[in-house]
Amino acid sequence: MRVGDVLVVNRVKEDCDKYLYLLSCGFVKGAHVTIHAISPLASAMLVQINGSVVCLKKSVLEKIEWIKT
Amino acid sequence: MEKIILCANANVGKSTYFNRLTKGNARVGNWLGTTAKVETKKITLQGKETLVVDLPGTHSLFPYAQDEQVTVDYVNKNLDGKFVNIVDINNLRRNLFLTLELIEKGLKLQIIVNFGKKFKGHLDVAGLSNKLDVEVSYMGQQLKEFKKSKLNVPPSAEGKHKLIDSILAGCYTKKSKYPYGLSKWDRVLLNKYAALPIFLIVAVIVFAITFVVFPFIFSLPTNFILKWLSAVSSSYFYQEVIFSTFKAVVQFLPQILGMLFCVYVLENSGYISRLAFLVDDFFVKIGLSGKSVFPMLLSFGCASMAVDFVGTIKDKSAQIKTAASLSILPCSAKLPIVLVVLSLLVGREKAFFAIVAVFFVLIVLSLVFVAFLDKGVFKSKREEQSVLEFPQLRIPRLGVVCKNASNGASEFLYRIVGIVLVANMVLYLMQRININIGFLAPVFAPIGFNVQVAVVALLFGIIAKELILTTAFVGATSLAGVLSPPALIAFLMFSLLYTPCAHTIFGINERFGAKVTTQIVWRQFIFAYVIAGISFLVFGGRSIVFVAMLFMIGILAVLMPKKRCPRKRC
Repeated sequence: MRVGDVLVVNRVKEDCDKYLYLLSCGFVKGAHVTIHAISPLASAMLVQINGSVVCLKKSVLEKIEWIKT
Repeated sequence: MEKIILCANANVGKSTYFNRLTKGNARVGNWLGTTAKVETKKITLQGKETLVVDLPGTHSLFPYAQDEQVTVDYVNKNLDGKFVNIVDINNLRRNLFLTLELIEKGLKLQIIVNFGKKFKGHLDVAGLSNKLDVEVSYMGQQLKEFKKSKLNVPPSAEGKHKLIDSILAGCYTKKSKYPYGLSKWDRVLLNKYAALPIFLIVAVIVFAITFVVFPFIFSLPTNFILKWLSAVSSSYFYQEVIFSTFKAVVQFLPQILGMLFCVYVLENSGYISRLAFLVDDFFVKIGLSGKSVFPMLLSFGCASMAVDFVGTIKDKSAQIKTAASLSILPCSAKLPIVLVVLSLLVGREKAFFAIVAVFFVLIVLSLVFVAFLDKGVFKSKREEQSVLEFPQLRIPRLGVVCKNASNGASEFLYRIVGIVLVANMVLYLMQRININIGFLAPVFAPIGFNVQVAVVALLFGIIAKELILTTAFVGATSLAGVLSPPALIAFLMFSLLYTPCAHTIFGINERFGAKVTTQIVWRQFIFAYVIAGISFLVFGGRSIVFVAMLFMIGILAVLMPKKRCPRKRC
């Protein structure tokens, strides 16, 4: 994943402990997610979802199935 | 009594609205979790006594962090209350998710829209009100009717998001080049090569404002007040007890104000969230969270105040380690001790650079202490950490910053004047009655300061760190000419590290219980002893220095083992 990538959500894996959080943020099927920044050691990312920005751990993003555009 | 409960996402202006409604003084800011606990205030509204409740922000009714759980529990216990849901117009799409959840619960509700000054777009308030079937008004308007909406809210998250899209279609447009939370400046601030140099420049500016600008601005009134107070009476009691108290407090108030001012400027500008994002990688490696950065910065003002803000961190172990680090980091109470001791050692002219160096050492030591705790009793579940919502970067609101800084300084004064006065009186009586607690002094002989005054100062310092200064360096019993420079450095390091002050201990105890508090206090005491011992030996140039250092590091390793009983796991 690189800054500027636009990804489309397919689904959030249900074993993710932030499943409900991610759903409430808008990580639902078809949602567009843009990567805006990556932390220096690449363990956290700033992503745009639903018109606002949230910071997520890379491990959390890996719990999302993507349809890359 | 009727209850009006403010329930909304974090950082949408709940506390601002709470203050407006209650004419109150709750802290407002630009950081997720500004309201760390439930705030309440009674008011008379339309002739009825009403309790207004400000809840910590939550993104949904499925709690993620501890403070969100507080909100959700409160909502569930007060389903018959009247709820005010505040939404930020710039972040409406996300904020409406919680609104739909509140509607789904069948609560009596109304919505207040916080219009940001920089909002470019359009919102049809009447249209939104019709579609949601609840009253919607602006931030400045009077409260309207609370009603249960008849809107049919789908139970699934996907359904709710689709409903939000259909509600906003036609009544909300937003024209912005950047998503909510980011601006053009973020390209620089979040750049992985530019971020660290920028942070170092910010840190130097903060120190310069705290130690040069504010003391310069306040030097004239401070000198005038001290001159006036010293001339009130020449009696020994007045000079040693009353004047000593005010001197200790007044002399260092400018630095405390300066530090609080800088921290709140950074917080209000939204820079701290950027910092949290950038340090997250490193902090997670040592067992903290990116969100630890705000309480840690706030502790530069007052550690006891900062303990309240660890609740925004999800992982309890990371919360505990953040709380433990707060009392090692430099704070406004330690500042006077550092200032006086370093002035004695290197002179006032060079004190600024020495203070910056000591503060840097304290920051490093706090991280080392946290890393030890992480290897021992409080191991973090790293996979659970850091989800952070980004507030907007903005020019700090001077009024809010000054209000928060002056509130912090008043809190400091209110807390400290009485304690210092009582302690000075006790010290005065101890001198008069000749009470001797010198039997404790040999404990500190290996680290260079087996002097009764030092022991008394350290005992008082547990109540409040400021008392170390007034007990050990002000008045006839000053340690200034008694201890050698290496012993003075060891005393300085020990007094900066040895335990949290009583207020912080109470704060930690309230949040984590007695067992965790005891663990933190005794481990910190040993840590301080070892560091002070190393300082004494290194600065004393002793020949056994390396052997002793290794020996002490060995003790540390034994006391904070890598493996421990799983039964005690946090």
